[in-house]
Order: sequence, then structure tokens, then C-alpha cells
Amino acid sequence: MAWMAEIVASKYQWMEVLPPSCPPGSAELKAYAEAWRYVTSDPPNPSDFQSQAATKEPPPTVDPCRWAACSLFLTRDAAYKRLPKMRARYGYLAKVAISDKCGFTEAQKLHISFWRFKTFVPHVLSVEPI
Amino acid sequence: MAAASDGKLRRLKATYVTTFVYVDEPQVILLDRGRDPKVIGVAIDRGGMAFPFLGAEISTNQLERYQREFVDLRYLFDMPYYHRWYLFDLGTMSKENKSIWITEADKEDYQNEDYLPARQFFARQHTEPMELPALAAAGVQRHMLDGNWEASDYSKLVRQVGSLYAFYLAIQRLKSATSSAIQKSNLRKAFTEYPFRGGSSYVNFYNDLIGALAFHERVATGAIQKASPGFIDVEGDMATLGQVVDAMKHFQAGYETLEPQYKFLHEFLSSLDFLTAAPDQIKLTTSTARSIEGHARKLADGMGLSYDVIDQLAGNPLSTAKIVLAHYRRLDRYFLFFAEGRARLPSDEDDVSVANSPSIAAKPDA
Repeated sequence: MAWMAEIVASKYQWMEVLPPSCPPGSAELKAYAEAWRYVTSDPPNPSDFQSQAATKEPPPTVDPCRWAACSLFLTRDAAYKRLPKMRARYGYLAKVAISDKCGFTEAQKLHISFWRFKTFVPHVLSVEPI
Repeated sequence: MAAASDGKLRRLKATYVTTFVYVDEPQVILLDRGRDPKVIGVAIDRGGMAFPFLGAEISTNQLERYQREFVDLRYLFDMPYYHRWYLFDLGTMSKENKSIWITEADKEDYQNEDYLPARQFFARQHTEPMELPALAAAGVQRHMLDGNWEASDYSKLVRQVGSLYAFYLAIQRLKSATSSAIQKSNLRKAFTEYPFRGGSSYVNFYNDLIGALAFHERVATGAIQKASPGFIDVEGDMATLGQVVDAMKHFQAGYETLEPQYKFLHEFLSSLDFLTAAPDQIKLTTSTARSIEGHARKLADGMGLSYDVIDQLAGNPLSTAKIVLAHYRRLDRYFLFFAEGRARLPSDEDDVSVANSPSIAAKPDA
């Protein structure tokens, strides 16, 4: 699958610098009519969709490719605000629409890793305080 | 496991196991601290570290209770079994052997609301796949209910099934070559631990048998429809649930014979004041021992139990007889629901489709 990832990586222009073979071959171009993202403000800033890779190196437990993705959720589950760091960092939950032109995604359970194309502009449907 | 010499903030080593929750970065993780202790950690906002975490040292049992949603995440931080909390920086973990230094936390850290998860965060909200041990042949035994059921009746029925199930599964586990030495030792201990002088000994005996089984092996209450007619599902190992039902049918068929056998043995022990006496305080004469064994063996045979297996575990005829009597009482209480007409097993005409088990089977995402 690494060769597929190489083709994917070289064919597109990304919002952030991605490590080699990223996104993985299992990632796909897929539209989500509704997805949720924890954000810091209403309306959200473009930086709210930035991955952690933009600010620091990953801890040793995290794959650099995943580190360069931003987390979205398939359902409106505000449960993560119950976690201390999430509570401290994010004040809002934004509902967004993701088209297959926004970037690559990889879903696992309810969590989506999202690698943005350079052209990505968030299509925010609603924002609610948490 | 080194401790700081000043005795204040101890520094210890732990090993990274897995991430449970990932949102932009690891939010909830698990560390290993030996055979039983684990450290559950939540990411916090705190200066001086790249990836600061607050951890609570919990037992393996608490971890499994959390994973099976018997407790929420906050509970683990409020009442960790080992009563120790740590601060650590995930960024300092060794990539080679996954080891990480953790420092014992002060009260102002582990009681700081800003560092603690809020209530009602459960394991189902984990973003990462979680593998839990599951029964190879999990199943559901539905009981069709009718007539009037008080709230306590539901738990009474499940309790009888649970006790009988634990007894049969304990015997299987003791015979099995794949059971762990610890499990076998705990199961054996239950048979010799109590004096069987009154009700609490028997309750503790069955509770110990249940406690010696792994979580995924135990009986769990499934769906309940509290209507008349309604139903209650009991979940567990299918073969053992079948053994419970077969024992009840066997009991029903032999009730006319079994009841007087039970009464005779009970009265015989009562007349000798043996019911309220601890077996190790009584020196049985050979003829009394033979007599107790003869009556208990007959009753055990009638219920489909192996007297010899129980006797081998209990170690003396009086304890064995008392365990056989206790088994009779549980079968009798279970059977009574059927005799009263308030419970029956499903027929071909009943809808017995069930939802996915939340308690014993593997989670859908596992």
C-alpha cells in the first residue's frame, strides 16, 4: 500500500507539509454531509483545522502521518469535552460539511483523521458552545 | 522501580501500553506498572512538559470494569485501587522500550478539577479499537415471564441462575487445562474458605466462585421487558447456561424424590447440631461420616452433581453435604418461578431475537 500512498501524496497539494507516504493508502476521498470538529471560537478560525504538526513534534507514540491530520467526528458527541485538556483548549463544537474535494480522510470508529488539501476552506454548518 | 531518596516525590518507571482516546493528540492512555497495577492517564494543560499527563494507579480489575463500562473514567481518578497518582510527560517516553518515568503527584495536582476528567466519560467513547477477552461461545438464555413480578423478583431469578452457572463453570474451569493457576487456586479456596454455619457463608461461597471467574465469563443480565407477558435475558457461556436449564428440568422431573432426600439430610444434620457448626470443629465418627456421605451422595446424584468432585474440593463430608444442600436450595428457588407459572422457557412460537450483548460478548468494534 506504500506505493499507493506515494502516488496519492505526490498527486495533490496539501495545506500542511506531510511526511512521506502520507496520507496512508487506506485513506480515501470521501464526502461527509456532516462532521464535527472541536474549535476554539465562533466562527472558527482557519487555525482551528490545523494539525498538531504545525506547532510541535509528535510524542513517540504517535505516527507522524496521523500527527499531521486534524481530528473530526462522525457524530455530534460532545463527550470529549469531559476530558481535561479538551475542556481547557476548546470552547465550541462546529458542524462542518466535508466534500471529496476537501482532502483525504480515514475513519476509525467515530473518529476521522483528515488531511486537508491546500484549497480547503471550512464549510461550517453550525457552531455550538460546549 | 526506583524511588527518590528524599521520600517526597517518588519517581518510578512505567511502560506505555496503548492510547484509548486520540483527538488531535493522545488524550487518554494506559501504562503498565507490573503484574496488576496499571496507570490510566489523561492529557492535561500544564507548563514545563511537552505532553503532560495526570495518571491514576488502578488495578487490572478496575481497568476491566472501566472497559466494560461498570465505572466511568472519573471513578478511576477518584478511587484508584493503589491510591497513587502520577504526573508524567509522554514526550519523554523511550521509543525503544516504551518506558517512561512517572513522578508521584501532589494532592493539589490530583485533586485539581482542571486536571480531572468530568463524570460520565465511558469506554464506549474511546476513539481507538479496544480488544477485550470474549467468550468463544457466548449465548443468551431467554426466560419468558408472566403474572405479577416485583422488582426484587427479577434480580432473584438472575441471582439463582448466576449462582448455579458459577458453580458449574467453576467445576469446568477446575478441570480445564487452559485455566490459569491463579483462577484454579481461587476457585479451590472458595470450597474450603467458609465454615457453612449460616446464610452468609453460602452467599460468600457463591460470590467467591463468581469472583474467581473472569468478567467476560460471568453471567450478565441482558434485555428485560417488564410487561406481562415479558421476558428477561441472561447472558453467558451458552453451554453452561444450557447446563443450568437442564439441571432445572432434571430437578423438576425428580422433584418428588429429591425433596424428601433434601429434607432428610437437612434434618439429620440439624439433629446433630451440625448445620450451625464449623466442619473443622467437629470430629465425625466413621459411621456418622458414612451416613452423611451416603445421603449427600444420593441427593447429589439426583441433581446430576458429582459428589466425588465436590468432596475432593471441600475436603470433608460435612462441608460437601452442606454444599450439596446449598445447591439444592438454589435449584429449588430457580425451579419455583417455573412451578408458579411465572417463568417458562421460550417455545418455537416465541420471538427470541436479541440485541448484541453489551456485557459479555466482544464489543462491535473490538
